[in-house]
Amino acid sequence: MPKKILCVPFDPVHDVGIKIIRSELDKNGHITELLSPDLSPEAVVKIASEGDYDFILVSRTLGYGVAELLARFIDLLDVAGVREKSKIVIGGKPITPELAAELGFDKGFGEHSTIEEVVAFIEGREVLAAATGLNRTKKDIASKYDYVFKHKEIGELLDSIAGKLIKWSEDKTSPGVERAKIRSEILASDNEEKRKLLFEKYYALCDDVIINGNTQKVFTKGVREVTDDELQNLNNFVNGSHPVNPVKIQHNDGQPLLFKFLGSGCPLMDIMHAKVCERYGIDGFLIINPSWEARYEGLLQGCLTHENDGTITSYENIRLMRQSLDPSTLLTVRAHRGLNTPETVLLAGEAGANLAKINLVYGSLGAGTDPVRLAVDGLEAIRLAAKYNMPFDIPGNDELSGVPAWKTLAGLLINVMLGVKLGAKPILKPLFCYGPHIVINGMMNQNFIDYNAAKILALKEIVNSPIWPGEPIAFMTQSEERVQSANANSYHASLAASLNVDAITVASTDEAYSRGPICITSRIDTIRAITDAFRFVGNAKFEATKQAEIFTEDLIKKITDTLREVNSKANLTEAINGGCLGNKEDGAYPGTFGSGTVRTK
Amino acid sequence: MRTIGVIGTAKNTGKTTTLSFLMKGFLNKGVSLAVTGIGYDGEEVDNITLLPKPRLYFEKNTIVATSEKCLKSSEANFEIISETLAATPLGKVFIVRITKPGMIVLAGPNRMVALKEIIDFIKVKAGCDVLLVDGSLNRMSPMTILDKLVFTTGASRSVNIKKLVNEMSLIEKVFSFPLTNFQNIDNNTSVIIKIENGEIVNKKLHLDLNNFPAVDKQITTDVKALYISTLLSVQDFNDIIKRIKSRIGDNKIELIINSPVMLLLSGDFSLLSVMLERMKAVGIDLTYIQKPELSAVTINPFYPKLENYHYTPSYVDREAFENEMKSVLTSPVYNIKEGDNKKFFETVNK
Repeated sequence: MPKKILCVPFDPVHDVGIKIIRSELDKNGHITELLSPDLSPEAVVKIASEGDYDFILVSRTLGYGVAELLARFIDLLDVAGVREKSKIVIGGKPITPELAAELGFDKGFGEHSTIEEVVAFIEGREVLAAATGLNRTKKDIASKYDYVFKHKEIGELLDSIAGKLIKWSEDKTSPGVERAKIRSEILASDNEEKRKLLFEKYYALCDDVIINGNTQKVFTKGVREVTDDELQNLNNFVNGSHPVNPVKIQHNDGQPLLFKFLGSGCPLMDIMHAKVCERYGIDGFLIINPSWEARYEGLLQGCLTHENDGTITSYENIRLMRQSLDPSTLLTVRAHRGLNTPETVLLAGEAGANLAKINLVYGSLGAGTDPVRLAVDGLEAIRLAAKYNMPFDIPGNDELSGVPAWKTLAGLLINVMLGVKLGAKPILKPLFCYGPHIVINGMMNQNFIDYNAAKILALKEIVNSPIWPGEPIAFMTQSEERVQSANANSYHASLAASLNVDAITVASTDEAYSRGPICITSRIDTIRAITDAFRFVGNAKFEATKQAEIFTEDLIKKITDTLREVNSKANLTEAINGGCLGNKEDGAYPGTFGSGTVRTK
Repeated sequence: MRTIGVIGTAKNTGKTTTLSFLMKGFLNKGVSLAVTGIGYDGEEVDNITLLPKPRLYFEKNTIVATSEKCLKSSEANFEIISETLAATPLGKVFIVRITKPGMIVLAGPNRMVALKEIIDFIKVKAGCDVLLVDGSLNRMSPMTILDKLVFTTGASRSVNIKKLVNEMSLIEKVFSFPLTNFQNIDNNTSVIIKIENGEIVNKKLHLDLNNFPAVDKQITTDVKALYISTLLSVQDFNDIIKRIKSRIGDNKIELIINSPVMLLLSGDFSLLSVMLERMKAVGIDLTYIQKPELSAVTINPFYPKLENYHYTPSYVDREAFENEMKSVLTSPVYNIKEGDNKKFFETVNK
């Protein structure tokens, strides 16, 4: 039965909400009447008492003193007898049920209410059941790409470079590769006796710190096991809470997915943050491990928390995080940093992660692992990624050391070709930031758009591969001021959307200044800023100038030159050690962890 | 069951502090106590200023009427005595008995008829000696039906002490008019009351505020009283006064309205004050169908001061505030936090 409704905008400016609601009520067949916004409360009460309204909807913003005004209005309606025939409802951005109760209204709707909730209340029915959970499907970043190299010469050079490296590695192995094999057998075995023997073999290839941690529970400083109570509480939280009015970040399907880092050290804190971020629409996370984890041979086992940067990527931790996340949320695990690359990819695959982060070049230059060791380990890791059908993302963070963009991009492309040859699905992750080489050489003096755009345009001209700028975007453009920082992220994200990339990695607004764990509000800052930016840009674009074309052409030429130089060497490891993909002058130093550990099979 | 309400002239004038004090007082005397509120009070921080607020602590066996959601988040334990028909934005109102003491947020019936229903429920289902009703903001209409009121005022309403004193003095004056002696008045219909052949006769008053000449004709010199059931503005009152005067000359006439709240809501207090003087001057005796007794006034020098977009706690001159109030008002005045609290309780408990 249609209801008779009086709509009262008690505010001459902020009355759009009540107009939208009125329009929806009209569509649903109700009889509405909208008063002008300049009437006194007495005049409204007179109209309300003379008409037979089922509902009186009042909209008003709040300031100090307005509460008393509304309370007096409610009193007037009460003594005029209106409350016995009409329900009085208030709506406005700051309205909560508590505030509506305090003011004496029968119902209140605020910023987080939906129009459907208002209509349902008017019609005296339950709100139409919204789907529980995030109500979204898991995205596949890589499947629509065929990895065809459009730039013929670059394709041929990469084919040669990758082919030589794979051939070179055929008779080689490392403790990292061997541990991954043993660990795979351990995970597959139910036989305690067999597992015990396998662990003995495994520990023979581990450093003491790892053996002590796993066998005697004596951990390095700041590491401890998560307690059963903590796990139970987490379980209660994850199972007992559901996202309220979850938000979608992208305004259209062409806009990139958003990834954030998790690496507070504590898997439980990471999960709490992740659940909040999921409600704000984040599409996926990257687990970032502690830097010390990379330096030891072997990995710690169990649900472990670490009172410092980086979350331990044990099988149990990855599995806990994966199980706590919504099935539609993607999870990638950093694997390439250090001596456990194949095993980390194995554990990621076994624990149900969706992607793994591998870059043979960056891992050897900016992250400290011996190029020979990482070449052998990295190839095995890519094979494992292919086995578990996990695309692998290739971060270009060596550019942050000062390596020129073309050398970094050449490195990314080498990884792409290795992935293609080994049956995996690589994802290019060029930097989208104000990198040191760019700062020094003034490529962004005119704007931040042209050079960032050129990197994407160059890669797109070379290969048909997914592109996921990071890592994170806007790096070196953020300050300690959260609004500035959120804005900087939103501009970079809008540019990424304009360039039709597949995903982006986004920092929090306090990423560079947190002086400790990142806070959740700062994470939300950038998500909300980007959501708004995506709505603002929609299907329009940030446009680069002609200079971007010049940069693109220059980058492709220099990438080709770089790859020619790499190809002139016996294999990739020699090229890295020889500085072809970043030298000491660039700020890149070949790593030494695991040096001398590769052996012939 | 005695019913006592605490009304504020504004938010943060000390309603909760006054209520808490009365609760303690009655419990110490062993009086069986019920408590409800017409809004939402007892929250940790103010919904608007975000400053901390005093919270309500309920002792064992106290009867409380509050909304479903407040009960869910209560730290006290309770047994449900009855579900009521009243509802608020926080769910249905329940009447409960406290079984383990603790904090509860009050969000009870928010309109006059609903409060009356709750009072009847409590009388029947719980049988208490005293019901205390917490006000909300500056709201008062539901409180009309109670026996006694304590008014709280303070710097949160205005930092101008003179203004606060004048306002409270006017409220006191509004509450000073007596109840009518005429019986059998249906408080939904305006009537003219005449005495015909020695008998009181009620005749329907056709009150069209847009057509006063039509009203004029009905007021003859033999009219003893007028009862106006509807809400009037100060301007409406002024019009009626003028017309009554022109019809009755020097005769006296009684003007009956529902309650003091009808006057307090009629418009600007300065205009109301002038109107009441005019009414008195033309020989109109104002009376009410019902009114609570104004038992005492409590004062609160605190106010939330807006500075740099944040509210900070501030105070007006405590002594000057109290002295001015006491010198002008006939009702007893108390500063609950700093004054003679025992006397305050005795005054209210009389």
